[in-house]
Amino acid sequence: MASAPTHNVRAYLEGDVPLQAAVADLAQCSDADLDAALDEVLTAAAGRGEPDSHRAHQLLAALPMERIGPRLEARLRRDDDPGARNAARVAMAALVHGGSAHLIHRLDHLVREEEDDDVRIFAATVLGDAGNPAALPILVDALRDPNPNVVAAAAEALAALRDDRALEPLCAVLASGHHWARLAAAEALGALGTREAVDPLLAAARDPEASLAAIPALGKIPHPRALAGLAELLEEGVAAHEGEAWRSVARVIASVGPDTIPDALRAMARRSEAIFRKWGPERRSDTALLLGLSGTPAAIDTLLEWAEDEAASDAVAAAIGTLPEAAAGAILERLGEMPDHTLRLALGALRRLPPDTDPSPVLECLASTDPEIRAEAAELLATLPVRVLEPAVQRLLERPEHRRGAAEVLARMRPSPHERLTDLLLDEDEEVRRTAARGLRACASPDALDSIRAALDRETSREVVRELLIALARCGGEEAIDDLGRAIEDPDPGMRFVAAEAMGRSRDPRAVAPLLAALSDGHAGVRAAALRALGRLGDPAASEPVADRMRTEEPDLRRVAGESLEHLAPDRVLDSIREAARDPDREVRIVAIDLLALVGDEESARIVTELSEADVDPVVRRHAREVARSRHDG
Amino acid sequence: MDSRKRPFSDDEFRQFRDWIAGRFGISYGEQKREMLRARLEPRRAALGLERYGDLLFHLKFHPEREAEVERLLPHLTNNESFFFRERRTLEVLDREVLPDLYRRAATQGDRPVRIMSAACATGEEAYTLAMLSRLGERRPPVRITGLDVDPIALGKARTATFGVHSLRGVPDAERRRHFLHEEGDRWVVRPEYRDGVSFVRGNLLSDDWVRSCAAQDVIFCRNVLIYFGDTAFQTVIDNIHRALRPGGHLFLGHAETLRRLAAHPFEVIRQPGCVFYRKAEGW
Repeated sequence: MASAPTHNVRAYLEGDVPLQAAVADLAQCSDADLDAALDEVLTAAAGRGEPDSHRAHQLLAALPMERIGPRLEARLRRDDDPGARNAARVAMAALVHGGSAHLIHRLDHLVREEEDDDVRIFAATVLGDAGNPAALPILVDALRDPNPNVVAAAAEALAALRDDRALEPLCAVLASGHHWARLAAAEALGALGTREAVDPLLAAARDPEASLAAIPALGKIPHPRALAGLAELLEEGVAAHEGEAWRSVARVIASVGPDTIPDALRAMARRSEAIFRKWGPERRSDTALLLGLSGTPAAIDTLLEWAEDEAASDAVAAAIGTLPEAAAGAILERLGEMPDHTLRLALGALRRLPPDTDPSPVLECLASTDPEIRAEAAELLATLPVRVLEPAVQRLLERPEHRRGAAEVLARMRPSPHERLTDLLLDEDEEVRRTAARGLRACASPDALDSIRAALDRETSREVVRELLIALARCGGEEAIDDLGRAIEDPDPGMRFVAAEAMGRSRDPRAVAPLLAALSDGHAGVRAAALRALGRLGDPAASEPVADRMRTEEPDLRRVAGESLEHLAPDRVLDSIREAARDPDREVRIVAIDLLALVGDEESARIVTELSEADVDPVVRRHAREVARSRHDG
Repeated sequence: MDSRKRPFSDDEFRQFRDWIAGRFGISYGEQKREMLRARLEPRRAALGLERYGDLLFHLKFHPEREAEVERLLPHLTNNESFFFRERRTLEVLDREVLPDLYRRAATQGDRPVRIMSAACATGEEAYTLAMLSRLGERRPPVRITGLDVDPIALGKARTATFGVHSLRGVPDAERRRHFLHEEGDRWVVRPEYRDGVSFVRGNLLSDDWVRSCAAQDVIFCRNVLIYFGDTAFQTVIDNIHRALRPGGHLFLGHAETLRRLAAHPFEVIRQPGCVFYRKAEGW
């Protein structure tokens, strides 16, 4: 390349001249020179992440589509040059993603009318790569193409769009299409990952022609219905794909957690343990989960052997969480043998201690030097009845190495033992005092108020003071608000942050004024805490100042402001909310959708519908559809 | 309470996933949702927070959030490593790459040969490289740098003390040559292998470390890129390319490849059992 008429194109790609120089060259050059230059631009565009790739995409976007569109199309037909074809595909996808209506129209035409099957396939693939929701109807139509390869490409492209409006058309293909297209439709439904796809996939899983794809697709749907469906399949017997079905079970449990495991599945897992053990180390995560599901003594032994390997910690912890409750005792006995990393996760994975369990192994964890292990152990112990727990904890308070952990347990006991906790506010160990103060958050008893205020007067640790402020707010009262009002003006932003949070928990309307002032704090974190607190207090008078913060530069602050408005009077600040529905940040748009649904007027509903169809982000589109559906159903 | 399990809502999972991807380049797909929840749980419990959303709020807004981010990070990554991992790669380094590097360095006034262990975690790879580069006759000076984002892992690395699990790939004779045995089945790297090994904190996604470290002759970046999404992967490779001296070499994990990228600026070198990469001389 680099002929004289287009030398600025190369120079632009290398960053030596501005974009306009390259555009001007290409506008004036001959067709032959344009083709040569385009080859180089497309090659650069395909080099993802390189600086010249970005510049190449900018150049393509600046060129008239009428001139380069046909040239890009021509390269899609280059069977002799896969590199050129793929480069054109990458470029077209980027242009369509950028909203090139001309190209979408051309690709629509190609998908519907082009005689060459390969070009129709490429056109469908480009539309999927581009991620533009305008492609949805084109691809849905392409599901009716007579060539199953084109249908399969359209199904894959719909999966890439992640738009669940494709659900029904894909289910239709799954039910009655060509074998090849059915497999692609099953995979696409798995990629959509919606609950509504489960039953059609289950039906397909019973069909020998489609089961190969339908069973793994079920594993991609994070919903208990998928788990129940897989259990049904295993019960009916899916001999040819039993291993794949179990793998899908593991995947669904990894997504949804162990709380919805059908009992029948556990029984089958016990019988099928030999299948899991044949899987190699590369499937250890799946194997561990399923061994946990089976819960046999041999399975537990294997898991505990694996627990020594730090690389298997996640898998073992997940498996422990999957164990039947009755098997948890075997794990508890071996807590002392686990390395810290696994112990932390294992304690977190055990959901509760049955009342008749011997809690000694967990009580011993309270002596750990690792604060996270102590906290996890305390969380677990707090699931025991107080009558069982309290005497044990009382004994541990008298042992220096267990004292911190014992304080953690007291802080989590319900009802909150506020007298013991206030005693601990005098402890010489700062961490014990901090834990006790944290425990008093749940207290909200005026009886504790004097002890808390006395502790505030004498406490020297700022960490403990922060916890005491939150506890104070929960107890409430005029003096509490006065104390917090002083703390929210402290020079330390950490103290101001905590004071704002605490005021939000106070449920005291006198907290509104200082929080409104804190919306102008110099520290973004304090402003965020104040926004959230105002939402918690729920005073409609705060609506406008909070809504104003939906225009700040920081997207996270805009989102927090929006979330707070859900508890205030969003109908008073509609303009701000509608503006937020166009926010460049998707989380802000999602919050705006929720606010518009709360307001519930016609214009708001119209905006939500528009977002459900046209937002560039599939997550936002899905959220808007779910909100619109709830409104309709409600 | 009946069960201590906290719900992990769709919104919380999505927002955490996006934050982690943006901050560290680590990707958590839907199948890792429970894993992520389990990894967040220790910090949620330690801070006494009700919801995972509260934890994210803390990580984004608390004035001392960076300290909390540092405490959370070890939970998000698998820091598992051991000495002389993937021996074939090390053999290739020793036989095919290092001799040439030493020759070049000798002709350039005996400048140090610089080798980096990127995402070094607790230092097993960095010390392995130190042991490898000192085998045989005298060499030009070798400087090994271990780079990682996790300050706790770096702290452990600097102690040069390891449990027997980290030495499972080291036969007894080698163990005695390279380590001193301590009580409690702990092993300390011998002083002669600790000299010239330093550990620095840096995020592979940022180019700060590229600017602050000297140009490297070899960079090992093994078994960490698998956690990165495509964009982060590209950023890290770009940074590594800039950090390498022209003619410098990049070694990835044996199951990793640059084929994920549509284009990359490295020359691919294939040896039996090992593929590695070289930055062109002209860069």
